[in-house]
Amino acid sequence: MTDTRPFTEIKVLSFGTALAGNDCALTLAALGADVVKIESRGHPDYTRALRWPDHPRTYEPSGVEICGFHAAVTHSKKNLSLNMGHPAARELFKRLVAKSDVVINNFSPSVMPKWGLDFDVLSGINPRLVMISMPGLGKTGPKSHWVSFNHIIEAYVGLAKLGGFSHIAHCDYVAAIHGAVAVLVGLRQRERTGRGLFVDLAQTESVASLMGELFLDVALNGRDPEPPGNWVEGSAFSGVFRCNTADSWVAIECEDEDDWRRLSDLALPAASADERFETPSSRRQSLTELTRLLESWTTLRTAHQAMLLLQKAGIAAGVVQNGEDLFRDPQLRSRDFMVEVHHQDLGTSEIPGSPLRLSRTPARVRYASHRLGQDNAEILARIGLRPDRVEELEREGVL
Amino acid sequence: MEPVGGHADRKRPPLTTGRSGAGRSLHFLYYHLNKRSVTLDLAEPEARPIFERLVASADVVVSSYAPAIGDPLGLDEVTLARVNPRAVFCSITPYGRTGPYRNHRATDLTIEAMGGQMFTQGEAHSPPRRTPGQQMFDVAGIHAAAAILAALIDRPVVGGQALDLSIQEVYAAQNQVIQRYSTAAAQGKRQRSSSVAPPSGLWRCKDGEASVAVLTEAQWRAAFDLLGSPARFAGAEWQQLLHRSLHGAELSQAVAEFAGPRTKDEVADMAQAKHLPAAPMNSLADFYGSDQPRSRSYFAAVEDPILGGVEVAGAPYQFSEPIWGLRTPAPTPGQHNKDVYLYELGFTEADLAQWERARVI
Repeated sequence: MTDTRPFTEIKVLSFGTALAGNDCALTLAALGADVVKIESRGHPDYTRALRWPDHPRTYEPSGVEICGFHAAVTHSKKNLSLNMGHPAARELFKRLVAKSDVVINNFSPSVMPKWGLDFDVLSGINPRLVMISMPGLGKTGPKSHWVSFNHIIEAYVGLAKLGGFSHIAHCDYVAAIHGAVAVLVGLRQRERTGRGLFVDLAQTESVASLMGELFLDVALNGRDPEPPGNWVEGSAFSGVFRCNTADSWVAIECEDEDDWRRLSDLALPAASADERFETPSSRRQSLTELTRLLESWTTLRTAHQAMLLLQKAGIAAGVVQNGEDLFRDPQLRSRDFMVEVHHQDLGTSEIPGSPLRLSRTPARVRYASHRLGQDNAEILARIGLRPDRVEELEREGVL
Repeated sequence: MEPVGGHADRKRPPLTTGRSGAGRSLHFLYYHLNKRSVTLDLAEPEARPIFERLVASADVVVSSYAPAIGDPLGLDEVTLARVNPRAVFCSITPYGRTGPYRNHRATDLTIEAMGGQMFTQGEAHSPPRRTPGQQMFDVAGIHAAAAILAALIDRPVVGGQALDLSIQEVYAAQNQVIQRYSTAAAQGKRQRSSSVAPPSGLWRCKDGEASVAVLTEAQWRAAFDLLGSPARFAGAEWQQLLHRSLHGAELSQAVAEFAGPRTKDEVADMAQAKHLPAAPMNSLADFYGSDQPRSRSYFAAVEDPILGGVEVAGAPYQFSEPIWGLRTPAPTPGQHNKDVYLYELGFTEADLAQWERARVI
């Protein structure tokens, strides 16, 4: 089944690594763009080694490590091995740029210039190129040279102090989707102007943009937001409550007084008359006591039962889902959200599909992750290299 | 598009305090920059022709109503496609337009729970902890924007489309939660990382804390250097994580002596000068005043009619061309009814007057 449309003609060269870079390119790949992931055999993407503790070490036939973490963020992408330390490899890259539309990287700002591949050079080769860099703190500024990863970004932007460090890669995913949007905006702009452009995405700024109202609290009210815990400001009542088995929880939020009344009727018989619980702020003051009272209801039920009963009463509630819950989630399953992939080295597993369900051109898992250098011949044929020349370059260590 | 009289979000906290115009939603002020406002009561039968003309004029229609509420108002893809087959109709809902939870009520808090993101956040013996702000909903919106842009790129060939975006799915796709369970029947827990040894962690400074990561051997040598190369830590055994874990107290003492008299900014700068991943544990106010975003003009100015000059979180990405910009502040309810209904859609003054009387707009 051929899927030919303007989007599938878009050619992306991605040095994207870690989560932010890989996931940015992944969104474009899932939407149908032709994405080539470029890795160096000498310094393969370090996500290849991020196996979970309960998984055995697995290797591709060439000896490079592979794991589910890496495969999950590199599906639907072709793989080109280029040893970027080698001048001949950098020349090949430039020739590919001439025939591509997008270059993605999330290296620290010194890397591409060090290789002689900054935007000035690449747009000289291809004036229609859209290029994005996604360093932790930005390409410019006194701290642009800082060594950074998720932890550092969360600390610097203020998220860690406000809410604790996340054990999830929140900032990476935020930067990744912002990056994808920026590339797409760049491509649309190119339709108007005929020219490419450069995007400098600072991961700190990308996540700060999700806290606009909190920064306005600083700017306009002179307030420095305090850690909110699980209380949602503006709610009539909110929190996370124990259910009937160890480490099982239900999240509940009453958005207004009507919700609060229905919650009281359902699960807090003593509360409605109690003046300690009359207003949202008094409920927040008495949260410990209210939690105790509410948990005497929730701990009689599983988290799912609690959620369904609350939903029937018209209250926003959700199970705090763990991996097993998500795997068994009837909502996700009913929408065929999980996709079975057969990976050459990792075997068969289920991975999430894409949430971008467009009715005619849905984003989807197109094929399982490719091996390092798997597509060298196909990609280099675009710049006129014959297969025997490709093999020669592989033997020479250029690829 | 807002209900007549304005959307309830205009009162969503945090609110402005003190200075002229107290009680306005900061959330609203921020998220509705650059937008115009028309009011329309979609439940009124008289609203139908207005609605259809609006949709017919649009490239993109975005709705976040649950199916049970939006569909009776005509906000479903079939009805909209009939009115404008070339529009991209975007539905953003907590769980999607189909499935057993499609009409469940949800908030940012409950979706974070259901998306699998909350379970591993927080301390081992405490309740799972949410992410501050409204970031789940925001990120879903950015995903929608990506899909809409892709659909617009394909529109000349493909025509209009409908996007059914589930906020839960945006999050269920992240962090390999599903894959890990699928392949090993295993899942993450709330726990401290066991592969982190002192001095990696939070260093107490004169004015707060700095986060310093010492994970690799090279980073240990840099940290050793930073702490003044104390002879007692010079032995090769200190390169081992286990040895450092067992002698955490001695390392903490050395860290306290180094960091205690210095500010968190100084400590972070000095650590980074030795290529150690480090950052001050900033509050939002600290970041707001910090040199890195300021040097990049990250915080952007916009003129609000009541508040005057306002500085807001700016562009999440910086283009080399003038594409992104803050042009107008958040609108008042129905501020552009005349512009849109009269001048752009071709209704008459009499129509408008009649609709205002009937509170259709």
